[in-house]
Amino acid sequence: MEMQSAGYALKGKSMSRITPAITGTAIGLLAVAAQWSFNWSSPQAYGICVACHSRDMLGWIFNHLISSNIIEVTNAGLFTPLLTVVGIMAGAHLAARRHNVQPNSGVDSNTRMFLLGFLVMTFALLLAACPIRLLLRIAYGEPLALFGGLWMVVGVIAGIAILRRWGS
Amino acid sequence: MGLIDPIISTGTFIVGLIIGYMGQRSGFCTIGGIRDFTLMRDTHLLKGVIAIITAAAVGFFVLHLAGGGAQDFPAFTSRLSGNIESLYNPCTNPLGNVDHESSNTVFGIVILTIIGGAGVGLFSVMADGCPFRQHIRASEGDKGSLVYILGFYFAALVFGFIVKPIISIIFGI
Repeated sequence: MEMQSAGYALKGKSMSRITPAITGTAIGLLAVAAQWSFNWSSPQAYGICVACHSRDMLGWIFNHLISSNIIEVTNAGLFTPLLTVVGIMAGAHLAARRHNVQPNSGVDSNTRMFLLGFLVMTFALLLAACPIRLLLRIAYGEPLALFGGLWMVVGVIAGIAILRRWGS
Repeated sequence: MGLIDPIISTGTFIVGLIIGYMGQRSGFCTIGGIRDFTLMRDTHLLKGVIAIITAAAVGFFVLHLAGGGAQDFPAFTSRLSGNIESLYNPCTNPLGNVDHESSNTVFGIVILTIIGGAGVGLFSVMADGCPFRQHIRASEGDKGSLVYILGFYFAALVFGFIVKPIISIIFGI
């Protein structure tokens, strides 16, 4: 009943051999490997971040296009574009093509999704982490990240309550 | 230093390629893990969240022992000694360079962490997935997620011009 009222099904649950636990392990280990390839002045626990890396990549492109330093980027992405998000999209597209995955027909309005994307990036930059980097920072032993993680859970619970009250 | 560092650019691309492929196959989602557990005590996706923390902690420990790129691991030891700069990455810090002396700055960082954390959780669950999951859905051909990541990227470009000045005014920095 809970599932129906909020419109949640177990969408993420696939029958693939690659489980979320295995994916999470790979993300953790590859983030450490990427961290190792960065130079010493890079931020810590920065191996994978969907928000920060796309900001650095877009900032690098934008700054080079107009030959300025108008967009602030980190030391990791100052001299070279971080192509993490490009890789994620290429890899996911490859997987979807290989297994004939059909996209869910979107029911959300474009304005709503654009606004939500805008808001998530803005708040992620205030937090200095997307959810994945927040987990990396927690793994790095940063108390502030754990604190932010607790507030993220509060945000999720508030979001569920809002969706239940006013529908999705 | 050339215009492009091939190791970092290629490395991050390959890392993205692997986790993008695995993420598509597994339906991995951090926000989804927290949501499913909160709603119906389903731990399928939450295991992925726990796996990231565990694997990365072990990895950072090994990197720390090997002496490359994880100098101040575990972070709470240096944080407790009052090194405010390492409390928060100054490079990604919306307040700009952290002032060691100012308790105002520390207060601001804690407030921003609360606002940022709650905001990411709230709006991600409303968008039905974390940014990583949205990228994967967009790659599958979901138009809603594609629009989402356009908004996501647009916010990254205008953050320094819109949000950062507001924060500077509020916290007086």
